[in-house]
Amino acid sequence: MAWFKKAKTDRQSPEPRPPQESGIAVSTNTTHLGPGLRIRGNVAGKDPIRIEGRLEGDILLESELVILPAARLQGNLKAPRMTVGGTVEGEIESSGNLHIQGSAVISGNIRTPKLKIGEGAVINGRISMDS
Amino acid sequence: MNEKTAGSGRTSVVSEQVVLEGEIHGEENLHVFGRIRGAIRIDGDVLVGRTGVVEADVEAANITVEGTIRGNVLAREHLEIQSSGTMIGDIAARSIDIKEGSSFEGRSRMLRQPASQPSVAQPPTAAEPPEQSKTAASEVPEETPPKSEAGGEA
Repeated sequence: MAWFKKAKTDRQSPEPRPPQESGIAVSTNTTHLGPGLRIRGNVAGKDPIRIEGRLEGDILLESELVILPAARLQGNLKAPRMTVGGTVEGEIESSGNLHIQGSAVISGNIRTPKLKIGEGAVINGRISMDS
Repeated sequence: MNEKTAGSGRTSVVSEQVVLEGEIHGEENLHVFGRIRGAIRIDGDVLVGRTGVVEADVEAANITVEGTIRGNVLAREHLEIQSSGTMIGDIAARSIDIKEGSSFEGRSRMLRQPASQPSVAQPPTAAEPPEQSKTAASEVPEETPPKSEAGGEA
C-alpha cells in the first residue's frame, strides 16, 4: 500500500510545475526574462527575478535575483540574495547570501556578507565582505 | 491560439512587483503583469495582464490587452482588447477584437492580408490618407457585411 501511495505522489509532483510553458496567462509573482530577450534598460522591484537573456542596465531588487548560466548582463546588480551563474560586467552587491556558480564569469567588484563560490568561476574584481 | 504564431514558444514574464524601464527586443512571448516603460519589439506574443501597465510602443505577433497600454501598438497578426483592458494610443493590426467594456482612445489601422485579399483591393493610392476606416469601407462590396473580416478571423 505504501508503495502505491509513494509512486502516485512521485508521479503527481512533477506535473504542476511545467505550466510556465503553456502560454496561458497565469499570474505569477516571479519575473522571468528568457534567453530570447535582449533588454536595454533598468529593472527594479520586489518580486524574485530569473534572467536567462541579455540585459544592459542596472537591477535593483528587494528580492532574490538569479542569473542563469545563459545570461549576459552589463550593469550593476543589487539584491538581498543572489545566485550568479552567467556573465556579469558590473558591480555586484548583496546584503545576504551571494552564490557564484562555477559557470559564472564576473568582471567587477563584489560586496556581500556571505559568499559561496563554485569551482571554475571566473572573477575579475575586488571582493569585500563586511558584515 | 497564440502558440501558433509564437516564434519559440518560450514565455518571459514581468511580474506585478517589477518595473522595467527600457527597450525589450527578442524572440519570446512576453507576459506583463508589472510595469514596462520604453519599447517592446518581439517576434512572439505580448499579453498585458490585468495588473500590467505598459507605457511603450509595442510590436508583436499577437497582442492581448487585459491591463493598460499607453503607446502605439502594432500587432502583426491579432490585437485583442479585453473588457478589463485600456488602450490609449494608435493601433495597427491584421485583425482586431475589442471587447465590450474595454476602453480605447486612438486611431485604428488595418494591416493588409498579403495573400487572402487579392486583386479586388487596389493597391493603396499614395494620395489616400492613412484614415483606414474610409478606405476599408469603400473597398468592401455592398453585399458583404463590414464585419466579415473580423468574423472570419475569429
